[in-house]
Amino acid sequence: MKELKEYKTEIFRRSRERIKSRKKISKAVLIAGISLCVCLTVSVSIYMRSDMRLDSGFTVEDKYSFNDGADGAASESVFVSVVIEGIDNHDYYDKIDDSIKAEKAYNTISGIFDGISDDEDMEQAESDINVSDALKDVEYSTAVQNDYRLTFTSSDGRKRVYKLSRNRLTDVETDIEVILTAEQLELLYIVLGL
Amino acid sequence: MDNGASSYRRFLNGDERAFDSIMEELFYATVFFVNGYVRDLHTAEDITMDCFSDLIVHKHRYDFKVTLKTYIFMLARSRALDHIRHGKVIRFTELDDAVDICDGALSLEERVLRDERKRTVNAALGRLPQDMRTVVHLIYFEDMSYDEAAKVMRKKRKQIDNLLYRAKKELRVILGEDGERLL
Repeated sequence: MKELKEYKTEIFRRSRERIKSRKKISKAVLIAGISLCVCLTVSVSIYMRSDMRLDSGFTVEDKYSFNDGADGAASESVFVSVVIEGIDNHDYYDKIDDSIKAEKAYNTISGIFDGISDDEDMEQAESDINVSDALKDVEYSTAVQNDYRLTFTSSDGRKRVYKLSRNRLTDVETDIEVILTAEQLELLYIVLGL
Repeated sequence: MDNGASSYRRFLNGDERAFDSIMEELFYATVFFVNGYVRDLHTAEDITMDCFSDLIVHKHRYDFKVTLKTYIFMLARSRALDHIRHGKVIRFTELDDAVDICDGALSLEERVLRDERKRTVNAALGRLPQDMRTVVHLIYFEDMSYDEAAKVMRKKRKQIDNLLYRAKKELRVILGEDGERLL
């Protein structure tokens, strides 16, 4: 058996070692915590920046077209021609090569699709069905009553295809269908020269 | 007598000599108590030193709600059980060293148990199961109350009562006629 003094010395030596190792561990934990916080902050800020970019007018297509080129050429392409083909009447074929007219026609169609983007407008469009149904005898008696395929071609060769069947306009790519009002149908006929 | 609590308070206030009085009062008793579990004097010393080191490293873990002795015995029991659970290493000892160890154990018994009656009971304790041995040790050798012993052993007071009753019964059988007189 050792003397109490020896035990005490040993106890204090062990205590000092344990305190040292505890300090080391707490330092390591602190460093790990700080680096974790920094990582989290950076990733959250990157995520928020990409979100803000989307909110400030970029479309989803724009978001994924950053790799198309440094100048974003893909997103700036314009539609330069539109081909109008009769679906029922295969003899009907027309092509608008005037880029201004083609762009105007595309903008008109885009405007029609954009107009039903939110629920309120959807309801409005639903109610318009009745109006257009009521008007359809009048419309189709005077307007051309064929179904058409509208193929827009952009300067870089990109194509958008729409199908116009009586008063229904369908985006073939997305399969979204819009029921046109009499005014919209009339306007579309005018810009397409039908 | 507060079993070291006031000394520990002084130690916390910066009086390093107060630790000496805690050591004097409780160190050998704790080694003796731990030795009852691990049955190896060096391991018992080692575990006891770790328990006392806890008092220095974790200064504010002891809340003065129990006596310091009870607190240290709680630590010691838990560490001893951990040692038994995790450190199942059979150590072989040279015969010459074994004599020293044996002498050490005897001198420890002499230091802790100055009473002949207690020494006789202690010799018989080795034949009791662990829990009974511990409860007899705490109540008769360390003069703890039933509540304090219950805290150290993490049992209810009633369980301590029952254990002690059964331990006495066993000891009477082991000690024979002398047992009646000693208990």
